[in-house]
Amino acid sequence: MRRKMLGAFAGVGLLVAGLSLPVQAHHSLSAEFDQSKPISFNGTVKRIDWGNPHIYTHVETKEGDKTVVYKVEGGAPNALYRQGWREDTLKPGDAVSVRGIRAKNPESPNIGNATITKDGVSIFQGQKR
Amino acid sequence: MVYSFFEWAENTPFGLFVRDSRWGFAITEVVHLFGLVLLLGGVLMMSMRLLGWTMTDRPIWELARELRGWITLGLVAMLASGVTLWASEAVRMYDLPWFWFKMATLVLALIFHFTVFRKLADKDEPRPLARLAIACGALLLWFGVGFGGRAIGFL
Amino acid sequence: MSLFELCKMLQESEIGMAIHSSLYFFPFVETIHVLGLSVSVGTILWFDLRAMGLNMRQQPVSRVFAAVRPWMLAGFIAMFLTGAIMFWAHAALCYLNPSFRVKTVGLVLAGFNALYFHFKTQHGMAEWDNAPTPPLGVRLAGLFSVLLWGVIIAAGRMMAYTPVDY
Repeated sequence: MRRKMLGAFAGVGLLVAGLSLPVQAHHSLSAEFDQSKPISFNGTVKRIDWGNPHIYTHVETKEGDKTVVYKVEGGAPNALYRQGWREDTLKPGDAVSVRGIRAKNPESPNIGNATITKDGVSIFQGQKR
Repeated sequence: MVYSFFEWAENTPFGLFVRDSRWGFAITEVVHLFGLVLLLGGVLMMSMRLLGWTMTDRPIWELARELRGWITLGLVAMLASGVTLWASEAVRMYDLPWFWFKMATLVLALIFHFTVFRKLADKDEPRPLARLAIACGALLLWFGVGFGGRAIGFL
Repeated sequence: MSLFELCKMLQESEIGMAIHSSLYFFPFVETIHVLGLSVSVGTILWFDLRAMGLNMRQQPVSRVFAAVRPWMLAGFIAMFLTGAIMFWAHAALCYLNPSFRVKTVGLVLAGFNALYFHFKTQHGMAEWDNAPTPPLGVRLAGLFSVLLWGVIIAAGRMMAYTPVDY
């Protein structure tokens, strides 16, 4: 029974391994971010840090009277490139809306598992689900 | 069916604990790396001996017996920490092709380890060709698992 | 120029940025760095265990050392080179990262431990080379090595969880 299950597991594995590639990040999503702290806001793209181990899109927004810059975390450049995302897909000055989750560390400006929407088109850059 | 199993794992108190704790995941990753040093380091030493590159004046079974406990310790540490890491984000892993690549390679590596590799300790000196095959097989499979792990992070 | 400015210059250099944003080079280098653990620390570990009298007790300490030395050296050269490449891309961030500082101190201490063993402890080797359990000083050198490499590995991984901005 055990052997059979392992065999099936391996079979499924090899099969799925051939399929296309979703996005992933360097360290795990659950390690840094808190699923119970969702956040969404509108803002302006300040800077794109297109780099390993994962990219950051800096988005400036207003919270009351304060201006806050969030760092929206994405996947590794390689994974994003395969998905069609380029370094200049988003440009500084672009108006975007962001939906994601906050980091466990309350002082961290990082946003995980995020979807960035520009002109009504959602640009998926975080991790799936 | 498999998917609901992954979903179940993520929602066990165990999975939730690792997911929601601040340092649980990071510490588990460190244990995973310690296991890697023991397991891959041990397999590497054994393979060097099988290839005749080191400690050739000692019988193979002797080194195999010496390393066996440490390699097993490394394997247990890797599997325990690996399951922990997986349980904390099983649902996301389900969608990642490289996760399945890693698991498929892992199953092959485990089968190879317990059927071929571990039998060395009880055998007389295997023939040169068999030694070459066993060493290359073990290195390829275990480093394949490691490659799959890194590919999960980057590809 | 302060050390931080030097790191910043390195990170913001053309090569530093090219490594940072590379599609294949950084993942490749990082994979070698992680899996290379088994060649560097994975081989020195067997010598440390022998020095502690925990493994391969019937073999002379010197023979175990001779067996692991080439792999250990090759492994550490590979680790140092790949580590340096990744540092180049994130030098200023590394400089500020507390985990990176712990890792650096650990590396320096591990270096001293190895040098002390080589120039001091090793001198009386003829007397205990065949001893299943070597003298306390030798066992301590092995223990320090294992502990320090453990700290270095842990601190290296923790760098991802203690990031600092500037």
